[in-house]
Parts: sequence; structure tokens; C-alpha cells
Amino acid sequence: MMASVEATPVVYDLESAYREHYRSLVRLASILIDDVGTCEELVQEAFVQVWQRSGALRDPDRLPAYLRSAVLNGARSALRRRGVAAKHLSVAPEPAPAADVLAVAGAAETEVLRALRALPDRQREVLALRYYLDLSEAEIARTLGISKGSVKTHAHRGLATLAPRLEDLR
Amino acid sequence: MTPEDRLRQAIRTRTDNVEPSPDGLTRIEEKLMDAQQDTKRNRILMAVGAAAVVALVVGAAVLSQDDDEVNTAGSTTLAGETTTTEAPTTTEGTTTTTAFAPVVDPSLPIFPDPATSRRFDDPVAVAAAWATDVVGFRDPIVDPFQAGDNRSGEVEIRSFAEGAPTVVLVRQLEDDTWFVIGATTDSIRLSEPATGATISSPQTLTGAAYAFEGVVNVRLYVDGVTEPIAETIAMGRGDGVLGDFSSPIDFSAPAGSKYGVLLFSEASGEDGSAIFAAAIRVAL
Repeated sequence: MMASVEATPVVYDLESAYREHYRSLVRLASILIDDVGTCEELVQEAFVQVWQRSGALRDPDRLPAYLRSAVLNGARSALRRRGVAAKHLSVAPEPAPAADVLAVAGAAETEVLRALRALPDRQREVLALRYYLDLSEAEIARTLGISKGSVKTHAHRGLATLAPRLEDLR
Repeated sequence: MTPEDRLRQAIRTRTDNVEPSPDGLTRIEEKLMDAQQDTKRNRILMAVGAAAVVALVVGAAVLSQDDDEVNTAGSTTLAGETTTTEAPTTTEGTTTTTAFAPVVDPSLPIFPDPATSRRFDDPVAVAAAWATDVVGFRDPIVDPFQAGDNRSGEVEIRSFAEGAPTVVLVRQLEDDTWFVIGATTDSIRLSEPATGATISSPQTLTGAAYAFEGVVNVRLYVDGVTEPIAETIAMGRGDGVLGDFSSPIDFSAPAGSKYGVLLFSEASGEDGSAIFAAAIRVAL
């Protein structure tokens, strides 16, 4: 990435950004959505969105946050579309965990993941950003466009909801 | 092991076994090329459209100069918007106006008003026009159309790049034209009234919201009237957590009004422009 020059759009190096962020973003999406193919699509779309608007992005340090935001927004939309589709099915099938998850994860861990995905949007996203990417409260707040206080509240509520499942992991 | 450690372990168990396919970069580059081609194509179409409009206007002006007895209405067309102006006909110096006859079920669309001649042949254009003309977004970021079924879908609109979206629900209600039929956003959730419900004054509005200082602006529009006939605020929470609200809205609808729109929005603390919005169709 080139250094930022005041009032000059930053030119990002797509290949470097891809190498640096693609895998972790797909994995971030995989916490929220079971199908890895969909996760990859979301991340690819996030890169396209950010690159199309890259003329308006003047701070290279914010690139990871832009990409994370785009992935989370995409995941939220995908989940909402699935919800709408499920409402129109006479019998909505319970989504089964992906085969790779079943193969390697214990039942309790799978249940934790399922419970995490059932949390409200913000709680789910805050916990994923904190416990997968180890972001600080300030970084999470910037990524989600909310206050640090809200990050604390969402994390607290999300963990409280998950507590019974987490006990099963002892 | 703390609960946090156990959550971290469960997440790691999932993520460590997710390995993206190796063609990700190629796919991104292909998508970028497709997007650039779409942009070029849209620009060409817009240029052709603009040229056609200019030609029509110039032609109309020439005809108007040639024949003083013929009144020809000019029209301005934005990308994706078609305007069928009321057709004036002149018979021996007498001008009559043929009213536009709507064929849309008026109980469904919240924009454009089906009783007017304003129409859009593009779902993104109708969503963007509603966001700016009615809700008050300023230079919104409008995402591509996401198809639902073959006649409907949604368009996400953001007030800034990293912002959460307002999801504008759009549907084709005539053969080739698109209407907004509602809008949702995560930060404003409505419980009462339901979409399509009949409301009467005073109407209780309930739901949950988080907004700047908790303030959600509520406007009630009725078809055929540009300005809202009633306004109020609903108080949710301002700390990023959904807070329940219950607020009455008093109104007096013009005689004969049958349908309206309840619009809930959060305004920017900086310039008052809209940041999020939710909207439903109501009957009166």
C-alpha cells in the first residue's frame, strides 16, 4: 500500500490486500454463516465494493476496517434473505452444520456456534470480532459504527446468552 | 478456563478448518472487471438517454415555434425514471387534459404515488429516488439490486460507506415499472401498526429502536399530499441497544384519503440528513 497523501486518493494494492486479509475474512464470515462457499462470495463482493469506492478512501490504515464492515454487512444481508426465504417455505428446514464442522468439532462446540449464530446481529458480530480477530473495543466500535459503550453492552449480553452452552464445554 | 476462553476455543475450532479456495483473487479480479463493464455500459446508456431527451426537448421547441396552436410539454428524465406527463390535446384553441389512469393496486406502493404519472423502470433508481426525495438521505450509497422473486427484491442504501443499511423493498407492480413497497432497518423495528393495517387518530406506534439520543422521527404521509400530514417522535435508546417505544400520533387526514405511509427515520446529528429509515404502507 502506498502512503496516504493529504487530499489524494490512496492507491491500494489488491494482491497484497488479498494475501493479507482474504483468508481471515472468509474465516470471520464462517463464524456467522455455515456455508463456506457463501462466505467466499461475501468476501469477494466486499473486496469489489471497497475497490470500486477506493477513490473515496483516503486512509490506508482503515482498509481492514472497511473490508470487515463490508463482510459483516454482506453476512447480515445474506442471513436476512435466508430468513425471508424461510418464511415463504411451508416447512423451513433447520440448517444443518457443514460437514467439515461436524467432522472436527465436538457436539458442544457445534452447539456454541449455533447459539452464537442465533444471537441478535450486533451481539453476534461483536463476539466474532472480539474472540476471533481479537479486536479492541475501539476497533470493534469503529468497524460497526457504534460506541465503545455499545460494544461492551453487546458483548456482555451475548456472553450471558451463550453462558449455558459455554458451560457444556468444560 | 473462562467462558471467554471457551468461546474463543469454539470459534477457533470452526475457523481453523476453513480453508478458502485458491482462486479467490482471480474471482475478485473477474468481478471487478464485470463491475467496471457494467459501469461503462450504464454510463453509455445514460448518455444515450440524455441525448434522446435533449433531442426531444429541442424537437419540441422547434415544433412549438413552428405551430403556435400546439402546446407540447417538455419532460425531464433521470436515469431509470420515466415520466408520463399529462397529455394536452388542442382542439380549435381549446386545451383539454387527459388524466393519467393508474392500474397499480394502490394499497401496495409507498413510492411513487400510483395516482401520479411518475414511474421508474429500474429498481435501484426508484429506491434511490425515494431515499433522497422522500426520506432525506444526502448522497446515499446505493447498492446493486438483489433479486428476490422474478418481480421483487431489495436495494440496500447507506448514508456512509461503513454504515448499516436501510433495506428498501421494491416490486414491479406494472409490466415494466418499479415501486417501493416498504423499508426496514436493524435499528428501527416496528410492531404496531402492521404493514397494511388501517390506522385511526390517535394511532399508537410501538416497536424498538436505537438512534442518536434515542430520537426516531415519525412522519405520516397520505397519497396525493406531498408534505406529511402529521409528525411526531418516538423515543428508543441512544446507546446502541434497541429500546422499546410507544408513541401516539394524532392526525387529521384530508377527506377521501384511503392510503398513506408511516415513515420512521433517524436524522444525522451533523446536518439533519437521514441515516436510517423504515417505512410501511397503511390504510386510513
